[in-house]
Amino acid sequence: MIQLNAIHRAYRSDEVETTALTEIDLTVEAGEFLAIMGPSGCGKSTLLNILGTIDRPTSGAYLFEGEDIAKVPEAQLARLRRDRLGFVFQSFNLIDELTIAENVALALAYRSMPAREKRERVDAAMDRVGIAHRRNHHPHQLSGGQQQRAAIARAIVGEPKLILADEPTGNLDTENGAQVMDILTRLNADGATIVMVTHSPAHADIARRTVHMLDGRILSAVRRAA
Amino acid sequence: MTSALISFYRSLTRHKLFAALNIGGLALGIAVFLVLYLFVRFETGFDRWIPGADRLYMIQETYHMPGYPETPSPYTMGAELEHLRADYPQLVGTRFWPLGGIVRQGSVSSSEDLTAVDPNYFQLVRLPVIAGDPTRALADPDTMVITQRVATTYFGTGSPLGRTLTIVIGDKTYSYRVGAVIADNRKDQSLTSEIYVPMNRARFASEWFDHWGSTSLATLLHFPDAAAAKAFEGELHRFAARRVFGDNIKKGEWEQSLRPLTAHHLFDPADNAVVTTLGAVGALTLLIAIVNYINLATARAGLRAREVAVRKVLGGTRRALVRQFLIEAVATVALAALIGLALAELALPFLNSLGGLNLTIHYWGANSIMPALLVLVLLVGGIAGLYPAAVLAGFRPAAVLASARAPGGGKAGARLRAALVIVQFAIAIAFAIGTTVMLAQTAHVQAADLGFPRDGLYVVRSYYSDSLGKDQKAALLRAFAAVPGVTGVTSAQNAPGDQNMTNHSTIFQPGKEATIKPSLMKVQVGDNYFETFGARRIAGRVFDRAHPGDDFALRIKGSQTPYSVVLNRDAVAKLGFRSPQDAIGKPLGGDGAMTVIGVVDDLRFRGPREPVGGVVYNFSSYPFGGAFVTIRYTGDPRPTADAIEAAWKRIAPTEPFSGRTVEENLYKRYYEQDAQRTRLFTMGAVLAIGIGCIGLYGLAAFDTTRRIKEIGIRKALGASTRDVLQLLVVKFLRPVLIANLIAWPLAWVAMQRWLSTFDDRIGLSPVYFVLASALAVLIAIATVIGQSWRVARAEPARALRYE
Repeated sequence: MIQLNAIHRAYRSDEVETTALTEIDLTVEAGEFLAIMGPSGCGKSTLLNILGTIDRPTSGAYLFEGEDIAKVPEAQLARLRRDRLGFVFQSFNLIDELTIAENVALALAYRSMPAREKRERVDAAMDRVGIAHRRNHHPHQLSGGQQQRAAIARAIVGEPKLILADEPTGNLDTENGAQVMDILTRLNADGATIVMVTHSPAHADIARRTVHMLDGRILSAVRRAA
Repeated sequence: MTSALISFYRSLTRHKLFAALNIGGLALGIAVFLVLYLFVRFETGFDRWIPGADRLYMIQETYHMPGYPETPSPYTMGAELEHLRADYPQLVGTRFWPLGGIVRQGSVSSSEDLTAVDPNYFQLVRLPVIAGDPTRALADPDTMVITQRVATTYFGTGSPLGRTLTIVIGDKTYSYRVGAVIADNRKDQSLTSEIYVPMNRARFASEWFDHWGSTSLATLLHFPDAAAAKAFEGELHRFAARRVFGDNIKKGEWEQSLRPLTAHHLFDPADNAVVTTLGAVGALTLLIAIVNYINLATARAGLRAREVAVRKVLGGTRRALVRQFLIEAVATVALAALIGLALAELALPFLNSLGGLNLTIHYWGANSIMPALLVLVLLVGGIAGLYPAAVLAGFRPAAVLASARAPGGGKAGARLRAALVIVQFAIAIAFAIGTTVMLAQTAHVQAADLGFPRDGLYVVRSYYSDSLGKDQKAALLRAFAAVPGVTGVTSAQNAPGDQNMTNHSTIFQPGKEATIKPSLMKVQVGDNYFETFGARRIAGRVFDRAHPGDDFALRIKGSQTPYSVVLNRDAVAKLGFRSPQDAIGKPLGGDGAMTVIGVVDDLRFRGPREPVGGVVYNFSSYPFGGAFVTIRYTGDPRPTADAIEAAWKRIAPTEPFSGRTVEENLYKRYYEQDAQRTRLFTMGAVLAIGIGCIGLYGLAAFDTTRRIKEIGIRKALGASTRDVLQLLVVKFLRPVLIANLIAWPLAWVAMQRWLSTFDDRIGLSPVYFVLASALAVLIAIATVIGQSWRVARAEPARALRYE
């Protein structure tokens, strides 16, 4: 599904150039559940952002279903994210001014689709993660676990092929974390490809393959039997 | 305090854009306000600086006659004060009689403003005296009072007291000795003159001096207070019933009342409206700037929520925080006021020349603007500081952290800002509409059809002089006609821009005088009048010496033979003829027997504000009094004007020459002031709109900054750059569109009223409204897009990292 060849990412400020990723080669198969682990600042999130096309590599090739993303214009990337990708963030990134249902619907806001269908899909997504009863609340009225489940609902409402999760359990207690992992496992079982950044070895174990990173490089890949 | 100022300085330098918008916008607003405040104070301050001016009243006369303007005239019959004194011995009053004079020095003659006044004039109108005693001076019939300027012009630096000048007044020559010198005329003085001579009935008075209904001079009365003046107005009605009404003036047609001298300058409602409007522009521009400032200050405060949260965690009390914000706000406004003052000072010389004004900023003394500025700084600083202080000091530090949007003062804050943006843009759009209409009207007036081509016309005004002999007058006309390039010469009691003789007569169709009896202006014209002006003949013919009945001069005095008259279009309607053709050959009565021989189109000889009115022309081949010469020429105006003046100097060497092109003559009198005021208004309006845009830009910048993370989320969810721009623009467009709804009716009413002060005016077309609004919306969109573009295009990952 995804192939990264020699991906390099450097950030330039006025004085210094910081290298975030060096020589990353990575293949993600369709239907895979991949975990990325490593200490803070090793480039996990940058890699995830590049996979999600919300950041661009400085050099290297990124093939998404055979198409080189590096050469695709911004408007087409927006369409790709809209139709095929779903994001789950550590800090949830829900918009305070909108209700939970509106936050979930935001992922469909930029698609042309009958309003009825949008509503049905939003309801289905909220049902799936168990927050339908909170639909008219605002994010700050919910617990962290509920907020993260709302964020997952938003990520899956568009029925993406690839879900990118950046430490989805990082801000959650054990019980809520387990619930979120349950949901992700079920989504993977239903056919979604998932790439997840995590600090938790236990949660990484749930994934079928784990990639370890240090200082912007991939150290090793551990593959488990299904 | 020190730490608050340091923090203030850092917040200025750290948020350079906000600081520049904040202070720059407010400074501009203050500058506009200051300049227009000075203008309004100048215009409303006329004569108020004269000690005791508030106790002086001018007698004004109003005619209530069909076809005659109802505007009160502040001039009366010459001897009215004498009659009043006979009936009311305690009455204190004085007279001001502009005569004009020519000062002769050897072969050089110069026209001077010369006025005959009663000896007590300077006791009542207490103009500053430089030397001598003006009251004692005027007791002597051969002594005069002159201004400093006249003293310097004719006597140099030596003492002028006791020295004499030879002065021609009317057609006689006198010698006057200088008895006193007063300060030069001021720009904010209504009754001005350079030379004052004692009132002298025997020397200057004509038969008109004792003729009720004539308007020779200003009669000023002195009352201890307004109540006494009011009471005497009633006496004036009784006085008129006793002394005035009779065959000449009938009761109900004429009325006298009192006009405070201090109200004289802005007595014309149109002038008053202009000054009020410009004052409102100044106040509203300042309001826009203040609203801006408060808006940006409260918005920016939200961005500093983190700082406030940290300060609070470190133990900063609410009180200390409020104090910090207040000090910051007052210091910022003080800085803006200082910059505004500097801007106003820089702009004043330019504005003075643009607007024909003489405004200066006084820092100290009675006219000081310092107290007003101080109040402004404290008030605006207080309001601008209190709101964010209250909002920020109330932030719960915990809530600040876990939010996709930085706090912006909550829903109430956002709603307040939206309301303020609406107010601001409503004013700005109303200004934009006003400017568009005013510029369109000014352009219309400048290009309007006056009934005659205005290029290539030259008016010799000094032909009006009483001291020209009739042979000289005839010789002058012949000499002008011989100047190369001259294609036509005429003399008449009026000329474009000049209309000294405004004799109105009640004229009617015999048999219809019971119902239609308008008061029409009679104008006597010489040869080639309509031909020289190029007036459009609508029906019949114009005057021709070949028709003996045309020449009023050939008519035997008291004869009942009708004389020929030409009507203008307006007179045809006023006299009740069905059409111009219908009037031809018809008899008229009221000022001797007349026959209509022709009708011409209206000639607009005065400004666009005054109606042309109905005019009855008659022709005289004999050089008559009170006439101007108008010359039509082709080619370069400069050499033609020089040749005309040379001809004058040859034939009338002792008479001062005065001539101008019609463009100048009309423009100077009737168009210049409107053009100047339109420029002032445009300046204020453009700056107000600019300040409004600065505000919108600042708010857009603030809002975009606050929503960077949200934009990142939306983009991660598949929103394109266009989607994001649309989101931001629509949000800001809504208040701007609502502002239109408020601005349109306001501008409609205001402009309708302004246009109604013009006789020749454009229609109030919706085009101006659509144009101005479209411009405002375009500017708003451009402003918001200019601000949002960078953020909307940025990599979403960067936005998501934004704190």
